Amino acid sequence: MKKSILNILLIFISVFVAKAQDMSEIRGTITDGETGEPLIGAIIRIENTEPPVVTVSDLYGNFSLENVPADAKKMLVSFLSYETKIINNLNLPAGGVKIINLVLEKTASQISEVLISAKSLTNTEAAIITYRKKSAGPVNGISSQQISELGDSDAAAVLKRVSGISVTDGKYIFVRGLSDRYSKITLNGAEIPGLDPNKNTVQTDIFPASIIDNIIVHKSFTPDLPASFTGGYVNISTKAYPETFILNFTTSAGYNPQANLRNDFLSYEGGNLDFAGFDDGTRNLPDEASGVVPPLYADNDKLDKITASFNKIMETSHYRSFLNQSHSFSVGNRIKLFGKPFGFFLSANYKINYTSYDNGIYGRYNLVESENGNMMNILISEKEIKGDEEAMLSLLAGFSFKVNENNGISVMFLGNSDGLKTARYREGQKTEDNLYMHEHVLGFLERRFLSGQVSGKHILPGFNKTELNWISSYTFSEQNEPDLRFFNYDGKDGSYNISYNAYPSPARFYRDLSEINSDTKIHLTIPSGLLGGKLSFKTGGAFTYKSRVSDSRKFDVLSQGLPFNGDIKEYLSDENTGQNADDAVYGIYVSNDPLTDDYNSYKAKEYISAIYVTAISDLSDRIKVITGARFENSYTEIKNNVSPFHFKYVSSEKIYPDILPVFNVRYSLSGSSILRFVYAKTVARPSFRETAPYAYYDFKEGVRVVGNPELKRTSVDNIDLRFEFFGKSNDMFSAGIFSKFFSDPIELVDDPRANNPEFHYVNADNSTMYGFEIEFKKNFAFAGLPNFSAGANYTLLQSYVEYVDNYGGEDNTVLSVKRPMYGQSPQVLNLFADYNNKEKGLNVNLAFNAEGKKLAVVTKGSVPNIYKQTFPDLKLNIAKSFGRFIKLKLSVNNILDSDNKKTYTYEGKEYIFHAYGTGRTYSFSVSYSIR
Amino acid sequence: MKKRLLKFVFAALIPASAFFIVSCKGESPTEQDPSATVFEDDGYGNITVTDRGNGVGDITFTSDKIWLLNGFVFVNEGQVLTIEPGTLIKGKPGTGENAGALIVARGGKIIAEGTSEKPIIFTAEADNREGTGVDMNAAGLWGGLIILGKATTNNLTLDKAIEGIPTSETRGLYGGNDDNDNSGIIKYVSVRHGGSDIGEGNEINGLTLGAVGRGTVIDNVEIVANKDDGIEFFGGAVTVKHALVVNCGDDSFDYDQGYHGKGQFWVSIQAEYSDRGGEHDGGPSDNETGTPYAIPEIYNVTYISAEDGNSRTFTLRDNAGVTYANSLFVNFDKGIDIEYLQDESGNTAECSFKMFQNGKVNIKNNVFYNVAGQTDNDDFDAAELLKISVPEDENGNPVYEVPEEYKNAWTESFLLNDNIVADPGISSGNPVPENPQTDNLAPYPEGLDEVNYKGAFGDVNWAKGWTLTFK
Repeated sequence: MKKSILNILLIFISVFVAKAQDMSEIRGTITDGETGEPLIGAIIRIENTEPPVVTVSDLYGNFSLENVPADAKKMLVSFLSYETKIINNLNLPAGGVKIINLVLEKTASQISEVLISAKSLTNTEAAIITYRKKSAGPVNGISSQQISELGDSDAAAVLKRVSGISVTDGKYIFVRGLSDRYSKITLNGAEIPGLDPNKNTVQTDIFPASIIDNIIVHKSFTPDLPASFTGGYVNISTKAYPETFILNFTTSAGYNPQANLRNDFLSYEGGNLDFAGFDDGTRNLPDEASGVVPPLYADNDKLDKITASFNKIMETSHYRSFLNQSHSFSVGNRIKLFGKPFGFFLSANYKINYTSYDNGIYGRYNLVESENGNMMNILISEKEIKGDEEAMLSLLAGFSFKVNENNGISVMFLGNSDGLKTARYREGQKTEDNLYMHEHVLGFLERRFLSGQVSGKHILPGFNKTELNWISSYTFSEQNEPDLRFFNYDGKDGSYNISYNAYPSPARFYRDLSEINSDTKIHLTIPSGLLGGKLSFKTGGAFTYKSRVSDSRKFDVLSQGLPFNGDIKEYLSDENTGQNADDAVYGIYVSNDPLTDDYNSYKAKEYISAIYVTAISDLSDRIKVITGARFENSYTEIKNNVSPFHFKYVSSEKIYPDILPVFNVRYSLSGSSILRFVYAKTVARPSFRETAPYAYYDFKEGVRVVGNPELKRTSVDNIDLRFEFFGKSNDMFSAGIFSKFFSDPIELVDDPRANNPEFHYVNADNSTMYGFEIEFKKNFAFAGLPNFSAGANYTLLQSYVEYVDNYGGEDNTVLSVKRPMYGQSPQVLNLFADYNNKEKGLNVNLAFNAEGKKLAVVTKGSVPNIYKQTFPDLKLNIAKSFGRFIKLKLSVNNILDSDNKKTYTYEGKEYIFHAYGTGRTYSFSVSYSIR
Repeated sequence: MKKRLLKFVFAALIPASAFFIVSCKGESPTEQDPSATVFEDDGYGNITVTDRGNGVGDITFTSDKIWLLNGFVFVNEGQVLTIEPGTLIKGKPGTGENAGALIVARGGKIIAEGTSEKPIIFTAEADNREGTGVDMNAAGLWGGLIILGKATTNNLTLDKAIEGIPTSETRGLYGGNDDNDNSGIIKYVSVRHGGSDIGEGNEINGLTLGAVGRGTVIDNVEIVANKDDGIEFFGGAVTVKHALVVNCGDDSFDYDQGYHGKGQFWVSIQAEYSDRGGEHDGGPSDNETGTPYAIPEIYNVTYISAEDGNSRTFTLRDNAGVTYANSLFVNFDKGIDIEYLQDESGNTAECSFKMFQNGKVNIKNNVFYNVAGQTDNDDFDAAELLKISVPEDENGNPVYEVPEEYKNAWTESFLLNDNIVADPGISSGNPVPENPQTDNLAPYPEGLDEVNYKGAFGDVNWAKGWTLTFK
């Protein structure tokens, strides 16, 4: 393995070095200013050379001019009915490669020439802005350049920067305040698994920033996109086709005074590979316990043997923590293979992060009557300490090969592994039972996936340059949660108890989820000769398959009357196991109910097939109309793991055919300002679990969840009206209003008939959402400060959902739910200020993100719902280059030292449900790169 | 469980599959009625009962067979289950809905009339008729007996789902408007070793009574070694007499959700791991102060704690009221506590203490001995016997102080209500008093027996002979 990497390295270097010293190469991409798509067939020519140096941009809009005399001064780029761009002062590196990316604007008038300086032409942000400007619907994006300037570590952190996006739990994205149910995430345009047993959404924290080329967020539906999004469609593109040889090695260290270099970091004894994010088998279910566990008094010898096979670690303890670290290496180049251009990008990433706090508070309240109305009454108040250690490994290999001017193929492999080791301890008063609680939780969550994608792009010359794009993707993924341990007890001052009836008994839980996704998509773009070339079509289809298996097993750790003195290790010792225990009716034993396990486990499948057609017509120079529709047929199936012949077996099938129209008008007020109107219909389908016709117990959350086979998928009418202005130096301004009308929105209610939390998925009555969005970005060149820029985006929105049920009573007992939609923030604000001095290689970036409180936990009855409060997040990045190769970066996260807070609000006063602060993190990185 | 480690191998990379829908239907049971209840006779006199939705139907469990409950077995609405005297019924182990348990749904009836010679026994699969199959104190080996009716509760909703059964199983719902509802007869019934886990940090009670009405007869029941409470009432108005609860894991007698029935001759005998003699809540946490209020009238109880246990006599909270009269409380580590809540302006909120102030907590004409260490009638501290509890914050400090005058009023009520400290001469082994307490009896309300002694026993042990505790 090492040797082959070395060989590959030698190949680049030889390619790189072998060039004649007085010759240079120019590479770049030409973008169509009209569509934002690559411009194919643009002529790129160097002036005054003999023999002439000239080439044509290929199907990706890419071009490469070789053997350019290093002293060449002037380059011309032209295309019929487009402006000609002339680049002066080329300033080519002798023996090196120069990158020039350009956007060519269409011109109705005579041939116009635009002179540009060669300096700022490597900016990939320009391409994103052009894409935004020209796309059919409202689009936001973020480029690799911005990502590297912002210093974010993964896609979740990057996405926070995008207008109208917020991120919860560090991984689930909310677009325009709509919960993860209403967004869709793809990788290079193909479906990828969402590693959560109860959701269909993708966790975005598993993509390291260094593999991301760009992220595009579509806020309105066009027929070529999957229809199952309402808030936003996010596509993460990985790097694949570098313009020139690149090599990067970055290493960074982070320090958070609360978490790093501490002797009291809360953790537990795990496996030897925990640092790499893998369990080494330490947490595997013991072989003895893999079969049937006999109930007490059925086969006590066997039961004792099984009990003894489990490890005895069920309590948190203190360990030493090291610094946060991250190391990444990437290399890429574009070389010739069989005389054809071949690009590749390889990347390896490793990081480990520690997060810790001892300032957590956990509380529960109810509402009781008093003389002057009601009062909040405390039921539980506990302190919380937590330590998280997360390690991530990721490997990416991307290759692309241009067979000829009209045909190109790309292949990508991405392997990713993430391990999160969690130790949590809570202690405090459970007033409702008058107990002083101690609660230990030990967890390890492994998430892995391996994705392979093949895609191609073909220009069909015989068919008026019809363009064919396809991608086929296949992903394996799994989420394992081996040996999740809970140990609760009560008491203080030397007197302790395990009160089985007041809280869950000590237990071990094993949960595995695996998923296979395959996604094949074809797009055909037909520039028609109709209406003088003013009408074109795009058509295509998709077939997506997803299959998922979720298994869980739970073992209660019980005893019959064994006294507990507060020492967990002693309690679980061999002397206290089963028949060994002298001091008990029966000592420690485990109990497992295979039927309950099978009932809570499931297999599920989903097939979605789709076809679409879109017509794009230029009614005039100013008005562009896009109309079309997509037909999607989805089939889902879920069954639990109980034998099909057992009466507890349940299965459910759903088929939803949908026709989804789009009507979209883009009106150019001037060359730089645009008015858009979009109407589109989209859907939100329930997840597997939500339609499963049975109740299951979510052991981890301690709640029962009841699926609803009658659940209908939500259909949404989306309307967007937006004004956009694109100025010089990437300045932009946009403002828009939008509204969404939901039929049969799926909402979660806590059934008041149940004694304990029991969540039901219901179709609420129709709900609506209105919003206003504003965004700007301004460079301060007008004030003589071209290195300064600043920007902001702000989203204000309001939603309302209502659900009424009388729960078996007469009208007088009708209970209704009237509230904002689950997880919807009333406002989202992002601000940034940037100083970028290219000459000095200095970049300073200050970014702020905040969002309004949003519904986090639905409560029963009249107890106020729980909201997640604003977390104002201020971040600073300072990067400085030293010479051509070295760059140092300093960043400070959570400068304001904000706390995460979920609270009940009653009569203007806040009551803490859960609060903690993780403190500031300082990181420092060094990178060495060649490009 | 299969350990599926990701093999970093790509097999069949590109699904050539284009645009089609694969429809694979799951196999379904071949029987005619998939909801029919199955009675499976093994030929040795054991009948396994599996309820797949239709309930047991109108049926008699005869004493010549052993009836094995496989998961939750319901007596559906309109059905009557008759159990012959002397019948042995066993529950299979399991958790949640898979634990063997008998549930009499709203509108269903159970006629379980045992006799002192031939009691009806509910126990674990591993146990036998003599009670020697498992350890006397083994608990949580199966579910329990659950009776659901149409009487009133103070829940927010008319329907309420009994603990451990999801609302989607509508046979697990209880509550209604008929306090005179009749769920049948339970006489000379012994429930042993039950209380399996139902998932939410609690277990099935030995005898669960959800909104059971006055028409139901419950007289002479024994609950032994149940992992959770012995008997728990969720609302309802039923009267329970002669109830013996022994060595249960949690509280012996528990009520909530506005129980407003009556009780007489209740006995609680505890192990050192048992919790309170009584846990008395007024309403559910989402509607604590709803009506009807929980103000049952309980007379002639004998609550005996383990000598070295740390149990509390009983707790009143969440707006519960009560009358406890003519009773004996012995050997408890802690006395009675009552919850006090205060709003931000310092007023007493609706709570059990407020119920006391309003005359709805009456602890009168009782005898306490060795409760919270108090043994001397001439020199005892009533403040140890009657406590007030307030919520505490995350550091364990009280959220507010109880006004001194309130503390005094509560403590002074001990003597004002004719309670005394005296030794009745009883023990776990022999609950019949050596020193009968017959003076100064509170008058009896309608429907209770007018006996001339305090505690559950006069001069005979009515539990002798038919219970596991007093063989």
